[in-house]
Amino acid sequence: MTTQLSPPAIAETQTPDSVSTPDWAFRATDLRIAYEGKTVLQDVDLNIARRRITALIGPSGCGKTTFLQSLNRLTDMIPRCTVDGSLLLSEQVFKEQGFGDLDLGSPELDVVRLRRRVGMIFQRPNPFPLSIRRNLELPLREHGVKDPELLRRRIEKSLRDVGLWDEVADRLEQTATALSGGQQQRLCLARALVLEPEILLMDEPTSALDPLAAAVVEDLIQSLRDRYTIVIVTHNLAQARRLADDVAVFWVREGTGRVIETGTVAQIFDRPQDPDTEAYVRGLRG
Amino acid sequence: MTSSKPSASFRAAADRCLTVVLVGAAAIAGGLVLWIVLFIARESMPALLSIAPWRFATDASWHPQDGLFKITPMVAATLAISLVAMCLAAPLGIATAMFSSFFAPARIAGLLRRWIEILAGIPSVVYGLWGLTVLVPRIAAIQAPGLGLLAASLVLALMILPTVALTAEAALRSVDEDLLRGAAALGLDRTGTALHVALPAAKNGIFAGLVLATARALGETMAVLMVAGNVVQMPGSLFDSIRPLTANIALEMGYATADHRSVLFASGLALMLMVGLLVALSTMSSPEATDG
Ligand SMILES: Nc1ncnc2c1ncn2[C@@H]1O[C@H](COP(=O)(O)OP(=O)(O)OP(=O)(O)O)[C@@H](O)[C@H]1O
Ligand SMILES: [Mg+2]
Repeated sequence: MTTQLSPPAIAETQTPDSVSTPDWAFRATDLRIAYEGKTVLQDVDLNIARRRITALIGPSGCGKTTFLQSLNRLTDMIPRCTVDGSLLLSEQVFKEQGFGDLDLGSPELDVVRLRRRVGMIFQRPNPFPLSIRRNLELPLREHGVKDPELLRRRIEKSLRDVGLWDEVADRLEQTATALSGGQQQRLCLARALVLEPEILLMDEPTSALDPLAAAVVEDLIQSLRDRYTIVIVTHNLAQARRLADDVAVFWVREGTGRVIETGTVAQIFDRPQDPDTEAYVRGLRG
Repeated sequence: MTSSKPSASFRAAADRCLTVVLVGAAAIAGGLVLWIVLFIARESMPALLSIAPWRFATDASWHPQDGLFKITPMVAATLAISLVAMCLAAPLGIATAMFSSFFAPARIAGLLRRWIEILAGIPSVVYGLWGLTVLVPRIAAIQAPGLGLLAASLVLALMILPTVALTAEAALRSVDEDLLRGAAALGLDRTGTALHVALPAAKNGIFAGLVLATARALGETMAVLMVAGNVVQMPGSLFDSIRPLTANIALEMGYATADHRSVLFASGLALMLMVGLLVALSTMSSPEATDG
């Protein structure tokens, strides 16, 4: 994954039909993230491939959530959290081309535009305390979709995409918090999908669910394969193995989190190079 | 065993001991409230027994010395003042809370909160004085006498504003961080998050605060008494002088005897009922409001 060693080309100088456009969604170079001056993640060089599922694995506290949140600039919400180094979002993920790659470190970054393309699913389902319909309508309206017919269609489509339509079609006006945990998580996924993003960030999306609901959500993630770029944090190695195309292993070394190994799922699980990775994927450490 | 930890039987005894103390404290608190209610009920009894209840509405006027006990104008006055005050304080208080929890820089928000806490600590008689010397003349310039529903409602609104603002702020601050991050991750801006996510999430807590403020408004006496004008009449306009129930009790208790005295207790009982009803209604209408 990290074979492109040359600095990323600035797309503004490229022609749109350039054949050499690298197929990455995110490109982190020498990324460092600190909370209140204390570095928790450093030396991160990581390309996240487009339209593939990348699993971030590693023991607790090694910075997986932190890294994930830097990808949609949710780190903005944490006071005194600083992100240094370069983090780019490929212009390929935007519907309108020709603006160049998006520098996620830029203070002038339009986070609303970013977050329309990059959705996020959290560990604990977090539907808004509104009706099921309003949960999906709210983000659409915020992004300028006002036409009632269009709203209705997109809401139905996203609910169908997560297999929730048949379960809730007749109670769209009921409060979303009355749904079961698994249904809530699927609603949250629908809420992200309704904006038609290109990328989905997921932070342990099934770990707060019972095994059956977790399996349903995992199947759902499988069904999104090839259509979306998915970055998923998981502590469930079996799940990482089932879902991921690529894997990045995070590890704490010398007091700060780092990415110690990246590769395809086969490379990481069958032929790990790093002894810590090997011990971790064998379930011996971490 | 020579363990330094207290033995199981000792700990059980300590548990029992603490339980007894806590149950006792709770019983005293609960008992006191019950005692006050029973006392007021007992003092109201003579009036409730000897005066037919509909006479509180159908008597010609409030002339208790002559046996005329029409209290409906004063009930209406109490309700009108509280209603107008709430109509002013609720939006202002909630807006203040929204501002300080979502829009103000942390330092400003802190100052604002301190400021509102000070506002909450001002004795009601001081609000009354301020109303009397500042508000009443200005209202009188529009329409005499100045003392009346508008003055009383404005003073009262100011007095309950801190209750509304502080409870709403606490409710907004306790909105689940995950909801706010969820909103941000969907690209909602500050306004969208505050209005469409935080406000609905905090509505039970805000509502509980409004009930508390209304209860306070219904029961407030001194400040209202100083600026309401205290003429017993149905409130017809914002400028009418009126006399709320609380003011009536305070004004007449000093010299009331017999049925008159008992009717004043009965109106106290009525006030308590109103507040009780309000609280009951609020718990019924929002079963999840227990944490608010
Ligand atoms: N808001 C914060 N302020 C200060 N330090 C933080 C904050 N959030 C996380 N950290 C620290 O940053 C480090 C990385 O945390 P992070 O949550 O990214 O780890 P993680 O890999 O997601 O762990 P887990 O697997 O337990 O979710 C930890 O040492 C954590 O204590
Ligand atoms: Mg985490």
